[in-house]
Amino acid sequence: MVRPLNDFHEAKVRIKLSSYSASLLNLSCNNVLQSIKESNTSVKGPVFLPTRRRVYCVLRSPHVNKDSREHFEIRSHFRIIDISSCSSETIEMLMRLDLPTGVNIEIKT
Amino acid sequence: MGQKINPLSFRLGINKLHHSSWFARPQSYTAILQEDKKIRDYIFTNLLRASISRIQINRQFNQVELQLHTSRPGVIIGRSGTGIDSLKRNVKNLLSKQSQLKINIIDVTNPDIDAVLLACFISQQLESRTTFKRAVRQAIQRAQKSDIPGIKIQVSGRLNGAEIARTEWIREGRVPLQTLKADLDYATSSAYTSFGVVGVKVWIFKG
Repeated sequence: MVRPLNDFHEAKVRIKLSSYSASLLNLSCNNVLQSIKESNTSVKGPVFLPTRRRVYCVLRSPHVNKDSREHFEIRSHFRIIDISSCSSETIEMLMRLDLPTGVNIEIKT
Repeated sequence: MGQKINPLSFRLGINKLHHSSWFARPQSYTAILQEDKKIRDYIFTNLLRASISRIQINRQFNQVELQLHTSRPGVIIGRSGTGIDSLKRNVKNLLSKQSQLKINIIDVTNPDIDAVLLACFISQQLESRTTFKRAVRQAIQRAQKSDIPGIKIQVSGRLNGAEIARTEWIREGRVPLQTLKADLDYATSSAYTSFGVVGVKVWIFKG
């Protein structure tokens, strides 16, 4: 998580958002960007990292029938937002931000 | 011959939402999934009489939010909150030590057109030895009181204790399984009768 910024006023902050749903993630990105742009102008917009796909191949039948299977996949989407000069107020606003539950957020300085 | 896909999973990206909403890295995914399963098993076995139609688990960082959609919130809450306190304690024991638990109880406005509750109702009737035709007719009448465009109910197994198992289904109105934008509710239930297990499937087309 974030170290206390009492000692210095400028810091580079990297926000990584991840989710299984691309639409939810894009909504959250816009929320974060809007709340940051109010206090900061040095934001690098959402950078799309490659989507990771985990495929699980399972047998369809409860017994025998090895040739008939079904594929399930989990797609993980990632976005990065970079803030090059961040004040402590922006960090506080990020902490208070309310994101939908399917989205994971990691903030690194 | 094709077989029918589960209409809920078919519409996951479109009309329906997952019952668990969280994101986890592959290292912690299995542990969290097992916790979710333990919670659902505990709630289903201990709150049978509370008519729970949906258990929604939302996780954000270490917070776990449990939403129980039920038609009888009074049974869960108990007298002056004793039920919900014991539920909170017991569920918290199933979770990892750092999690904070929050439980919301949401009232189902119309339990007659909820597929899970209707399927549970039919299986309870079957377990108390009513004829399956009567149980299914009662369920359809209940649902039709609220104007729904379509309902289909299928029961399979040793109906009325017959030696030879068969499958019977009754449909009223229209149930478009192939239409993705259709708001379809689907549920399965098993009735453990003295002759064996009778499976109940309910499809409700809500428009």
